[in-house]
Amino acid sequence: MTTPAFSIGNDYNEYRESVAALCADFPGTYWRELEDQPPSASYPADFVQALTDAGYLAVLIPEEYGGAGKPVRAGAVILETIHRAGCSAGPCHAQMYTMGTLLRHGSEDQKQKYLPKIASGELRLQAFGVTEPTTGSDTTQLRTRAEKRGGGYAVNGQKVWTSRAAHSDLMLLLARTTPLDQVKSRTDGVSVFLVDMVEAKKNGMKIVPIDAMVNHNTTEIFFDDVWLPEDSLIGEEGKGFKYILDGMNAERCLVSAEAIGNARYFLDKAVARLSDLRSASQSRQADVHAVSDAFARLEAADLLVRRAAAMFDADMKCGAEANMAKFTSGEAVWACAEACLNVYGKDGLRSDRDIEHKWRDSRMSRNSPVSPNMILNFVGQHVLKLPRSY
Amino acid sequence: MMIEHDRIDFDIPVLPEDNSAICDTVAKICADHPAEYWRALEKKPAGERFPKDFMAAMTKAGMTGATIPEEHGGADLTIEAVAAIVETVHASGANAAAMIAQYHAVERLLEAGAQNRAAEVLEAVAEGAASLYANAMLKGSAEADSEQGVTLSGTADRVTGACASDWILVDLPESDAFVLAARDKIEATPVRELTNSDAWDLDFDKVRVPAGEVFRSTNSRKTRAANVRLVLDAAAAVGDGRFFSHRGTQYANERIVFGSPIGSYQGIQFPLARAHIEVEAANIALRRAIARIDAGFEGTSESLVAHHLAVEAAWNMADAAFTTYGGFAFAREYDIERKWRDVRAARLSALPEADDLARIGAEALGLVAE
Repeated sequence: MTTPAFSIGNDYNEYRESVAALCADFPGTYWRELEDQPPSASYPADFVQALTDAGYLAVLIPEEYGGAGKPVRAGAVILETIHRAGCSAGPCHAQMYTMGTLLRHGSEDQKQKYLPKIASGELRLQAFGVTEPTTGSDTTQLRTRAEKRGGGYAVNGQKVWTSRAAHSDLMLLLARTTPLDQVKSRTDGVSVFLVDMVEAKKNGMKIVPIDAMVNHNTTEIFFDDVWLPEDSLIGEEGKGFKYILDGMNAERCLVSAEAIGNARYFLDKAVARLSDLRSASQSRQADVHAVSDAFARLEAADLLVRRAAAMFDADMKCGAEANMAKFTSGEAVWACAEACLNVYGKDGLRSDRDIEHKWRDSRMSRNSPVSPNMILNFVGQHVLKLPRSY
Repeated sequence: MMIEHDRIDFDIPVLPEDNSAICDTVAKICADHPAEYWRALEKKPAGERFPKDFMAAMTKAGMTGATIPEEHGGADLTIEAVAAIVETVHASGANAAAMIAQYHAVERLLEAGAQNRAAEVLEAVAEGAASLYANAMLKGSAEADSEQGVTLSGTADRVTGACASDWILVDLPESDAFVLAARDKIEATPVRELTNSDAWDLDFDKVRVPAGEVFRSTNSRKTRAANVRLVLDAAAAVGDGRFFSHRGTQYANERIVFGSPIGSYQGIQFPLARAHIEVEAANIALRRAIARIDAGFEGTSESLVAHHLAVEAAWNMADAAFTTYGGFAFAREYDIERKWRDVRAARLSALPEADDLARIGAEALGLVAE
């Protein structure tokens, strides 16, 4: 079995150029000023609107529903370019891919109702409620319950780390429709719902911002007997876990590309700074080596991201490849971030050097959306065929 | 041939003194200024981010002028004692940066010995009537005048604690002279940073310093002041290492995933254990360095070794704890990310030549710098 061909150069150049031009209107000061705001006022609304208007967030939606119908690799290039240009797609990248579950498993009625409006940006599908305070890696243990009631479902429970919930009209929600003790396999009994946030907020759903080190406008969501109509269920009841799994590989590819973009951003800055410094004093060999080492890792990770996206776009099974791309891109961006911060020294701590913000963001690349230890567990067990270690 | 500094003198006691009474007092003050206090400071506008109440309590308890000799009204504590104070502060989750800055400034003034107004300033600090929280490196010029005063023109970047301090200790360019400049004569612009360092960019627009506050360093005390700074920063790092070792293991024991506490998985356990070992080793190196300084030796090599080991160990411990906390590490209310940022900043030097590795290489190993 061979990997489908993928580019090793600047693919989708038209996106690289146009996205970079858009990002030039949102320089460091824009992002710094947002961080000074309280959580409720820190959303980059203008930037997101600009991306929406240009159609970048609709690239993965098929043309028949109003999108550009491009492969995941195109989305990856857009996200990478945004990050390399010093901007952040974290506040809106979900609009690109969360709809994938609806696209692959929703009914035609649902797709016609929602996808065109998601493509145009009229409806924002930016939130994905999966993680709970007591379940991170162990998704099947989630406790949020959706019980059949009055021609729909009543939802009770809690989600955490639901980013962008306060800036989304729709949310994809994972809840148990059959309790754990009543299913044969623990991956059964979980269902996916497309929640109308506007309605839900009037009917028992509460969104609370979380003050966090990284500005992804993340929240806790409390469901107190929130009623969802029957047609908010996507696909078959109880089969939801499988539905979200296939979307995760796309997400891995796309989020990895953001890390690659940030890594290139750090390298651009580190190289520029070192070039200035070297002419002034010593050769700074330790820093030269650290930056070069980080660059090699970045290049390797970039190739893994390209491979995973190519496999996904060719409809090949790519769980291992997508997860390894995620893991290596997280480690690579961190190496680049650290090398850059070390080149700058204490001066790099200043927010106005535009290093420390992305440095904080990059810590997240090592940690989410999937635990690095879980990736290593997966590779160990399913690729290397070692006995499960947990 | 063994380099002289690598000898461990077993006749110098490396066991710490019993500073438990002092540490108990410090721990109580820290308990009165818990995590919420430090979290809230970060959200305040510029000019209000300095831990004023915490420092006032420490000063009132006699902790901030503690190394000043009795002849100047101080408690004449050893470096071992103040290192214990600093470590206790950091282990509790609080931050002793301003205290360390002042201990260092005191050493610099003791350098100046009986010069000019050094003794008066030391007495004021011992009484808690004057503060020395800021040290600036002047980029510009210092013109002497006929009355032995000096007029400063230029800038200094990222001076931490500048606006909360009565005096700013300013190192003059290409000179072994330093001055105490009164804070209220200097223009200051706040600097937003990764951490709550309360840093300011200073502008010296022909700031005149009278003769009384102009001092000349003597070489040996300048070295001692620098080494005291290194070991106190190392003590802070050891305290940070203790903080994260405790918090990381606590969470690893509580958090159940896939039916077991996550601390039972080697992927979580081993990084915590490895970092803990590094903190232990750094602590031993630190005790050795402090013992030599308190015994009257220079202790440069030992101080550099201790500092490097400690700041790296603290970072590895902090990052292992951060990983252990998973997503919750990012939530401010868990107090992991705040100190994790502080610990990262402590690994950075202001100048490449001040880097621990560069100095060990050049000064201890005698390797010729490029």
